Amino acid sequence: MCLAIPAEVIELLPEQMARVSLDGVGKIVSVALVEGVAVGDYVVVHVGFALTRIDPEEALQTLALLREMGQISAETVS
Amino acid sequence: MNAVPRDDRIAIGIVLSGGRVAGVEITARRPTGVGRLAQGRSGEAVTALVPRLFALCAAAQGVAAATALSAARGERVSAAVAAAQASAVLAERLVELLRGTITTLAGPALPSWAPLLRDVIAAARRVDQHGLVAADAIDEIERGLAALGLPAGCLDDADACGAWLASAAPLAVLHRPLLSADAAFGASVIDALTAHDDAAIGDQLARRGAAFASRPDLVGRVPETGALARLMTHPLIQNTGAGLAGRLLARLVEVAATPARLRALRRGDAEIGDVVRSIPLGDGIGLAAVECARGRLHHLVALDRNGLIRQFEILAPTEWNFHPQGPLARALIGRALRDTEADRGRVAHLVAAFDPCVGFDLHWREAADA
Repeated sequence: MCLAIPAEVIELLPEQMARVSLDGVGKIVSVALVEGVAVGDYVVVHVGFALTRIDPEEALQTLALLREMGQISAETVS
Repeated sequence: MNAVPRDDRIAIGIVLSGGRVAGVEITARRPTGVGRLAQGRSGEAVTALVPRLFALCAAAQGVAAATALSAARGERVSAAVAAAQASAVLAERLVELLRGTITTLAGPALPSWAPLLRDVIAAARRVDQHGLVAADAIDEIERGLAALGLPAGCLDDADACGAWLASAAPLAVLHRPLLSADAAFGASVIDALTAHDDAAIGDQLARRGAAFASRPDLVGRVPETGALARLMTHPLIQNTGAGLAGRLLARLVEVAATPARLRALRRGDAEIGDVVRSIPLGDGIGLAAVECARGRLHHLVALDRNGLIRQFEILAPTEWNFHPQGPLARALIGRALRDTEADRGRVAHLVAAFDPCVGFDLHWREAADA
């Protein structure tokens, strides 16, 4: 069963790829399936693909729920 | 404060002995904590948060939670709401089956598929004021499918499929190598998970909770779920068999059939019991079964005396198909395979056709390495 973790688009790359931040952890994913992705957008990522764009406020609320579930560990990164 | 996301993936170990698969070891990290998160909240709060957390199949998850909640409360869902729910599940199922197929098989050519696929996805999400996929959106989905290489009727039976496979339709071209060279790979007898199993599943979920949901079995049975299991009586699938070709084609058959089903829902004359099923279990407990892209999804809701959530369980279809003694393992055990690039590719295609809802990694070893 898959949790869809919201990711913030940090940088657009060639070939419809983008660098995203999964709450601080960088990852490169395909954004080919989401029209007009821009830096600062939040997208739902699944196995290397951005699936859909979501409202930033909703993304932050979802991240808070995931933290409450312990699915993303609230760790201080120096 | 940063958060480190967990990477939920399935590890599949192929154990070889004497040139054959002697064992399949499957381990998965799965999300935990949703039951705890739901406890003590209102049913409405839980039905709102579930689609957010499981956004890959948000419609199916949302409908399953709402249906289980209604069943637990002993409420009847109106025909209009049930039709909208089925419409949302079928549209999402189309998107996920199509997206999974194309992203798996297109490889580096994906950007050339992306514009048409995006159009179909956008159309499948366009609903009218009643929550049904809009009439013009269904037309657009159908045109998009034809442009992607899945014209209406192309997979109705073996003859139509043969003509389609020989055509220049992009999806036919994409599937041709797999359907001709390795059609029977992984064929096994299919024991399909059906509505007949719902009551036993509800009983086990209520009694064993997450322990059952993470490794389900029905008195030793670990049935298969998904497009192939749903279509065992379809003429094309009966002709093709339950190997790699049958698995890939079953996904496309369901995609191709979806516009007609969405139109039937708009007319109000559609049967929806094979998409969403509500099972009241009494004593404030309800079960829902929803046939989503990857198979039969179950939610169980139990309410406390104040009407708040006492127990909430999700049993995902991937848990059946990727059970260590389940359908994928049965499809592989005993096969003549070697740890070569070619055979690694064959197994990867088979696993992808089972379509786990998380990423997967394949590992190979000789039994003597243990």
